[in-house]
Amino acid sequence: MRTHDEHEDAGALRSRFGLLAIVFTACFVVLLGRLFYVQIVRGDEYRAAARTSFTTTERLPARRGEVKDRTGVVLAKNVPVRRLRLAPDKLLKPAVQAAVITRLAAILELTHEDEAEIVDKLALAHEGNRSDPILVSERLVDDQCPFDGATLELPVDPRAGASGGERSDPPPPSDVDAEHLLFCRECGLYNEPIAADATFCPHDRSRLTWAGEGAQRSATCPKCKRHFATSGVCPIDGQIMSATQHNLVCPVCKRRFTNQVAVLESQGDLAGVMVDTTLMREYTQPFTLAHTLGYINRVTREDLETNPGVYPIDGRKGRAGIESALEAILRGKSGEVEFLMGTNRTVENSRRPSEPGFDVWLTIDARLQREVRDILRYQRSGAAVVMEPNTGEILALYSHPGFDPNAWSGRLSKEEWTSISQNPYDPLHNKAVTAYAPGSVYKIVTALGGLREHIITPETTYFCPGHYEFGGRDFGCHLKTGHGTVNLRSALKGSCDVYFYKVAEQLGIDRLAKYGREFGFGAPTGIEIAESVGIVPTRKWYDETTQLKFQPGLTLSVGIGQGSLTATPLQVARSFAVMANGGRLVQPRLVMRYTDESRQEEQEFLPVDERRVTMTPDEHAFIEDGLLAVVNDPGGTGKAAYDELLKVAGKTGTAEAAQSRIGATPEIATWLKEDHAWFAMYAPVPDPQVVIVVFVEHGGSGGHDAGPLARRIFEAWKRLGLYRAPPPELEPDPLDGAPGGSGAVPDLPGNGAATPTDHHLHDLQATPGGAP
Amino acid sequence: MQRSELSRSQRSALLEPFNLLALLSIIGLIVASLIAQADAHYYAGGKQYERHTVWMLVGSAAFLLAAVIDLRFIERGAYLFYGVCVALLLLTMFVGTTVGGSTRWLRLGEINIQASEFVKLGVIIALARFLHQRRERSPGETATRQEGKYRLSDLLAPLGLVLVPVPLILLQPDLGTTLMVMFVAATMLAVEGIQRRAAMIIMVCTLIVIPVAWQSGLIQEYQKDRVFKLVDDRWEKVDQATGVIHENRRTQAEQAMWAIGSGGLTGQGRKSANAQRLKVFPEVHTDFISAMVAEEFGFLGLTVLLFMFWWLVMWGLRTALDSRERFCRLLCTGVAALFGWQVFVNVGMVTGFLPVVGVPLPFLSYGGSAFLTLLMCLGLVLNIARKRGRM
Repeated sequence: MRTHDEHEDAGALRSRFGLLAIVFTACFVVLLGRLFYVQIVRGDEYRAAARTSFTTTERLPARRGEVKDRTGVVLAKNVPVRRLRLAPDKLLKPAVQAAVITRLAAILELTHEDEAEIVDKLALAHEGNRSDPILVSERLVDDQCPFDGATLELPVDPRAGASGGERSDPPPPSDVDAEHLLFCRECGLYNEPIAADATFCPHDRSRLTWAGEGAQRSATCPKCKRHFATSGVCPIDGQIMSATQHNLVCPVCKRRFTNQVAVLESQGDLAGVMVDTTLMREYTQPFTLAHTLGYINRVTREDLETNPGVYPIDGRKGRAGIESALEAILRGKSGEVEFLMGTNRTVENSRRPSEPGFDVWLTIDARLQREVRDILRYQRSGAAVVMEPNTGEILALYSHPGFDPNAWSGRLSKEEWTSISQNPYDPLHNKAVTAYAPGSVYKIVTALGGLREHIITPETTYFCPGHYEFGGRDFGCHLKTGHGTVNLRSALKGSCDVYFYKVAEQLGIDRLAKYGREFGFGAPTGIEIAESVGIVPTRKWYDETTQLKFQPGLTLSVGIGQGSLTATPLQVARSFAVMANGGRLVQPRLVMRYTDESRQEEQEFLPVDERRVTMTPDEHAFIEDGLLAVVNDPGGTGKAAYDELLKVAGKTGTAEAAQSRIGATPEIATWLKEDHAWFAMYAPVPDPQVVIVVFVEHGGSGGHDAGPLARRIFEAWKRLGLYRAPPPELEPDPLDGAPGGSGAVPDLPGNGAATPTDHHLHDLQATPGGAP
Repeated sequence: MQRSELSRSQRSALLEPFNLLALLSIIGLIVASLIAQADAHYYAGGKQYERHTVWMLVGSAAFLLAAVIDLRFIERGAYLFYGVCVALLLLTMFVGTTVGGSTRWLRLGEINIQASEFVKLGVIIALARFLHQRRERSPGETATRQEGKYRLSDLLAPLGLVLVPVPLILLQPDLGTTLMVMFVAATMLAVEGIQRRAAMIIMVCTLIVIPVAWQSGLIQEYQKDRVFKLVDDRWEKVDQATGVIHENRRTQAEQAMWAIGSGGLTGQGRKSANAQRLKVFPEVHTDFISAMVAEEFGFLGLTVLLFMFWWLVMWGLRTALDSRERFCRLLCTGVAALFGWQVFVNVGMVTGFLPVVGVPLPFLSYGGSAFLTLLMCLGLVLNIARKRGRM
């Protein structure tokens, strides 16, 4: 049928095909050329760009370890909170940014200062071209009362939820006409009020879709999907709606709150607003343990620089106290997720999970700490240390006044900051580890020095007329009328300064310093948190540090715990622990152990090898005799601490510490002139189980002001069952060659095999089950 | 010549280096497609690889069938085939599945049929038949250079043939396939010869139509955006209401450049760690598979691939030229154009000097219907080559 069509102009055809072939070949050459350009010429460039642009890494935050007391009571924990952040790169347009901030200000009830701060931060972010989210609030109210954690409820009468002027509402935001969202409890929908004759959506000018009639007439915007109602009646189910402002009430504190998370979620896309859940640190006993625990707050640039790769940009770091000291243990290790970001989707490429931090168990007993706080509460300023003398475990470490670490971990309001920084009693320093003039509690050092250097014996007496002339100066005794003839025991009992001036004079400053150091003064105690070291001055120290250089009279001052000598209440406690345990310089410690989440033991802290204070049992007994007299003898300065059932040994201290401060009010100025009040004790004797030191800054008199507080702490200690009664004494076998008729004293550690002397050192009340 | 001699000459035709190389290229491309789909599956998962292997078997069978079938049968069935394709296209419009905003597929159980791919072949053979018949009808016309070529009036009917399926495809929306159909048809007509005046008029019309089409809404927003992006690298689509930059993710085109660039001379190798970003590469199974290949096999790999395509185009053209029958010639031209244009546009858009339109890379891009169609096309060309352009 078909004939071969050979009459075609073969030449023209061939040339057209040739042309076409050339065209296609040229196309392919172009392709090759382009590929060459991209792959070879610019290949490296593209490869480098690809590497940085495709991946984004997100940190997986690690769970910070909890801090617990010795019984497991949680002191610092992590609570999930809802937070709101703004993404600066979505708010580049000023009009948009302003609108968003105004809306947020209404929902979150921000102050003008808050708003200004946010605007500043956004400006900074835009300038620096940064896209790190900016934190606006970390405590979005969801369904939990931020004050007491109770679950919020809707008020019973829907109308009652309408803002009825119970609180003064902030002025309505200026961009919208006093808009309150209406919320229907029945169907859970949020509606915006709108006029019945409106045609366009007020947000994006799309045409509204209207439905319904009468009171239930309503509109929807097809673009932003918001619902609009023309009356207070829900378009769907006819229930009366309530205004969402203040539509939740706390059953405990009765305050009203706006459910901020719900309102935000109903807004559709507020550009740049990110709501998510994060963990926040909460301290369950804020003022009580503030200094010991410390607090955490955001990392600073320096922190990031000195610890590269450890903290995310919005990470937290411990400051002060245990949070700081054990930061590396508590913080764990954050993980990382690497995402590949494509046009349409993001895919996880690799994931390294985070390692949670260890939980830390402290030696502190939270109940005792609380009692200590209650006892010291009405003082102006001071500290207390309660320590176990044999192991060095700290049962309570309190500094007054305290502060609220929850406030420091979050955003501190201006009022809070002002009140703290202007508080003349200085809530910020941990006074338990700050050095002050110890006063007479230091006399045990002088006493031991005197005994060891054979300057004195227990029988040595001096006469105290109330003052002592030395080097042309008159050194007074605190008892102006004088103690009369005193020996070691009565000098300690009455805290005679003259006796100790004389001992100190004969010791000389350097030997005195040596014994001071033996007792652990002037050096770190080794406790985990940061501490002051105090000063144990030597001749050299005076020569180098003071203008007037060393004067022999200074030795006398140091001998009674004054001069340039300073010590922390913790060091004083430790020195008394030395007395309590018979000569071991224990290391005070706050941390018992740390564990991982599954409660497997990780690290138990064991008492460190300690030094021993060279002290014979006799020497120990002589000093202890004096310390017992302080409390138990009628004339003792420390009789406030007398306990009927358990023998207390202690020492008062009243240190001259007058100082002046610029700008102090008359009241403060008067206060500053007072002496520091100290009281240090241990009990029961024999076999002491606790050392208590109370320090009241400018408190007045050791015996009068600090002593009763120490006694109350001791009561609390007993009341909490911390006293371990000794097991029933075995009846002494009369056939046993035990010396003396007072019964054999079991050779317990720290007691030394004391031979009874005529001073009746050990009042042997071997009552079985003697705990009160 | 008797049958046996014909057969012998047919067999020997196959052994000619020209055709042999083409066969090798076809095999090479099939292998390449398997490798490519396997790697795409490695990066981005999905069921494409499984399905591709099935289509490969079907396609191979179709290829063999097309290579041996009687060409007269094809010619007779051309309009029917065309009609069926257009009908399927219409059907797709009403009951087709929509993926990613376009309705291109008919679902039969597990199998998706993309009618527009078959339409490409349909247009080629229908056009081939029409022009073949047409000329036949006026055998006596003598040929001055201009007179032998098509006048405008001659072109109206063929254009009509082409333009019937075009709007159906364009509205899916599928700009890429539309363009391909038009380019292929244009190439076929051009090679047959168009009068200068007619060609001018057509070009002017095209120049007018483009801006009209741009404004009319036949061209989608996102397609326009791609042109903007091509012209100005720093152009970002900004949401008017909020001022938010619309895509702060990287665009397809940018990602493609990085992938290709990373390939360098010899490529990163298959499934390499450096190429992990391909996991989030859009369209890695389909249109942008050449970027993946570029990254894995580098410039050298791409050169080999392009060579194989180029050879097939040349082979098609050569076979066309050698054909004794106009139908065969037109068919081969159409197939060569189909390959040529698709490869050019696809690699061009992937390498960033053409706007991104959805044109898949022959063989390598996933698409059962496309694969099948291409193999049928190649089978037909092989058929023609064997018979030396005789029917």
